[in-house]
Amino acid sequence: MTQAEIKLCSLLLQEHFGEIVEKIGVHLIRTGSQPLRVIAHDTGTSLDQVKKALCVLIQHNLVIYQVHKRGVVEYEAQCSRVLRMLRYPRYIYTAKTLYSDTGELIVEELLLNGKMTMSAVVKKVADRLTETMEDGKTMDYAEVSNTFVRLADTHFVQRCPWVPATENSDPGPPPPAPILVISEKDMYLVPKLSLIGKGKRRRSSDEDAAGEPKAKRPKYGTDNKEPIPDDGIYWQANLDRFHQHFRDQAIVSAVANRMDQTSSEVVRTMLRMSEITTPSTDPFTQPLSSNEIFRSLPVGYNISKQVLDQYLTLLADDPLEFVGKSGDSGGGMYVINLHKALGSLATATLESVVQERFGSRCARIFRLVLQKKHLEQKQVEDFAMIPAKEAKDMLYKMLSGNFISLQEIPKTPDHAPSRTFYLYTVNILSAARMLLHRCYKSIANLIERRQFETKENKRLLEKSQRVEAIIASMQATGAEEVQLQEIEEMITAPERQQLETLKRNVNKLDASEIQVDETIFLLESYIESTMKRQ
Amino acid sequence: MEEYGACQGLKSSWPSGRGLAREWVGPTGWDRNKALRPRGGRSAVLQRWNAYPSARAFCLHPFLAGRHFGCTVLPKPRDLVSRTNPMAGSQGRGRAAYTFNIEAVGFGRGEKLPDVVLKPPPLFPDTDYKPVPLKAGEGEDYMLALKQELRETMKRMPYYIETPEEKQDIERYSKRYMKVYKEEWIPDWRRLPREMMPRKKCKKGPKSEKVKDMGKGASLTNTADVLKKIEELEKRGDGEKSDEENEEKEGGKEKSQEGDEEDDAAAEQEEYDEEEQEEENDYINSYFEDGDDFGADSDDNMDEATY
Repeated sequence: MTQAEIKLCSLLLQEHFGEIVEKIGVHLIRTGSQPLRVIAHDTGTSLDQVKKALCVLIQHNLVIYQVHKRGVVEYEAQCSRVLRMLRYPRYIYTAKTLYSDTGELIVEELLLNGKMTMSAVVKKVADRLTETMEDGKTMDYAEVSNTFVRLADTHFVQRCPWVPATENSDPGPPPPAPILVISEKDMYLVPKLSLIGKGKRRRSSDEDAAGEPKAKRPKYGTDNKEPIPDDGIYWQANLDRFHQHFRDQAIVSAVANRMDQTSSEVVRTMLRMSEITTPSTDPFTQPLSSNEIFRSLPVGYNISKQVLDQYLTLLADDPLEFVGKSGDSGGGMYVINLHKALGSLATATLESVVQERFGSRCARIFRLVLQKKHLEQKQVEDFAMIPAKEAKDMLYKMLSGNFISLQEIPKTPDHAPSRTFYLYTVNILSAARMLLHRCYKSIANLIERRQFETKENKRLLEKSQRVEAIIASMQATGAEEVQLQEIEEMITAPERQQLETLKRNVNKLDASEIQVDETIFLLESYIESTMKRQ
Repeated sequence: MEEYGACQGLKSSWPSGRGLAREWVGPTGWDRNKALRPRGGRSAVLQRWNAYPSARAFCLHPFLAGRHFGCTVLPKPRDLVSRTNPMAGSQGRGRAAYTFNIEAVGFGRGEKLPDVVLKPPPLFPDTDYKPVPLKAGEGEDYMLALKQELRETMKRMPYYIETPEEKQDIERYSKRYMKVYKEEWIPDWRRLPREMMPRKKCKKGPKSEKVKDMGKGASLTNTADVLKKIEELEKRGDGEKSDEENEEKEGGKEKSQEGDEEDDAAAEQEEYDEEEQEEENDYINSYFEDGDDFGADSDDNMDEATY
């Protein structure tokens, strides 16, 4: 893993799980697969803490273990999975758009806890929903279960691998670590549970969890005593399915930008039809006939068959080649070129980066070189219609930024420089990788800056929190307006100003992180798709 | 990302590490400093270069491949007048001697090129073009709020392991009332390796040994017994010493339990092998595996009652 990725992983782990887990996690990412004692020795932490940290990491699917010969168990960290933690808000928001609040909370619970049993998820989500509802209303478990089943059917949640229940006929020693297996067909199989119940509303006295001694808190012990019907069957969020959804979204919006709404609907229909038939890593979807597409169009769209055919022809003829025609049977067989679509999206990202960093004339040269593949210095000037001096300057700026590279073509075997062609070219894969690396660095910088800002104003933040707590408690006990005013004035006007600025900055930094992550997703998908094809 | 050095903008295309002697400290063992300041004049350098025919084969750089260095090797001054000599092979010295047709890359003759930058680029460079404003919309706002909320929530989850704070000199009164109570989280031990379970520190002498023997299966137990007997017989002559060694062996076995359970079988095997191979030696190498855990014992079997 590159240094930038390791740094980013370290920041993410520290924010989410604390320093100890971060130390262990980063050590594993750096050094690869290691057994327990070596980790404890190298990081200098006690065995007990290493165990706790590893338990947390394994629970969240960030570390996997493997039994090697002689019974040694080695632990390996998944760096790419750690980087997915950036995308959690996007996953949860997607679930909200597709399955409304219930789906959103289910996915949130699964992401926050790594793995959970279905009954535990349903119970927690029902409790949370009940709290937000009006007094007297409760959320039924059945409704939450239904949403869960729907999520499983559309593959957004999947089962975790489990220990096969073999009868231990051989009196051999128990293995040092369980070997977890899962088969394809079982992955989305929902166990038949009859979860009956309603969400419980937490009583108001329980809400103030901070400051209450443990003994006074009512125990949720009653639930632990009941046997859990689906014990051992854990569920996790299926991130690949979410990625497929994001990719489809990106393609549809690209088509909508380039052409119009109707064509994007046609493409969306085609993608929806191929969700189940095509694995997400294929370069293109299964061929779909025009008749099928016509039948599957959403009900609201009443375009005639001829119009649909025209749209499909237009899409197939488009130079971007999102849609391709693969045959003539059934009114025309059409496929969506997923790999080409991802390539176009990555290229568009590169172009826009060049434009924003170097200016529109540079972007023109960049697009020119992209289109013509290889160009000499002179030709660039001629085609782009930019004076030689400026063209040279721009080319070298882009060259030193590694967006463009030079290709040498010797005329003579001795590669004499005076007799060699030097051609400018764009290697999309390597430029995409360079940009991806830069994105990781950017996010690491953004997180660091945000932490710095928060630390700078820590005292002020704490003070404002205390004041808010005081006001809240006073309002609960029914204080007068005058007293509230007095308390509010504890924070002076310049301090308020400072708080406002801090809030604005932190929001901006957070929003930037989310948007850089979108770029990361596009670039990663493109690189992955290209590597699979090679 | 400015490149510093001679040919700005061109270096990226050259295969790195070859040809440019200032980067190439390859098999000839050339010292960079010596390369820049040849002692003994040109001929000495040439001799050294030509003395390693394999080095020349290594040098895949297009500028130098197949060339004979009978021509000038001295560095050239840093302007473009030198370009007239196409055979100047001195670009290996790190000076800006343009040995190629400069027209090919578009610079005019005698043109003033920008100065060589000899320091890293500034930390916060001025940008000509300001960044585009962020996307704003309902979705983005919601995701922003979610992100901040998640950050707070994660800190309160049981998975967030706090670093144990150092003891402060004065215990603050408010600290007692500001503690956040977290739920305990117990992982599902069936899904985790056995070594993850927290060990209970209790002495389990002969009992655990028996368990281990059972675990290893019949054959090993036999071997263990046989080995024990052999050892005893071997050391019969020393009397006390043999008893000591037996005790040490058993003690060693116990201590090896402190290590990981999956190491047990391996450690035992090793131990027996060691003792087999070792002669008359009081020191068993695997005696103390880990001084820290001395005395701690392991749970071999979850079903077994703990003492």
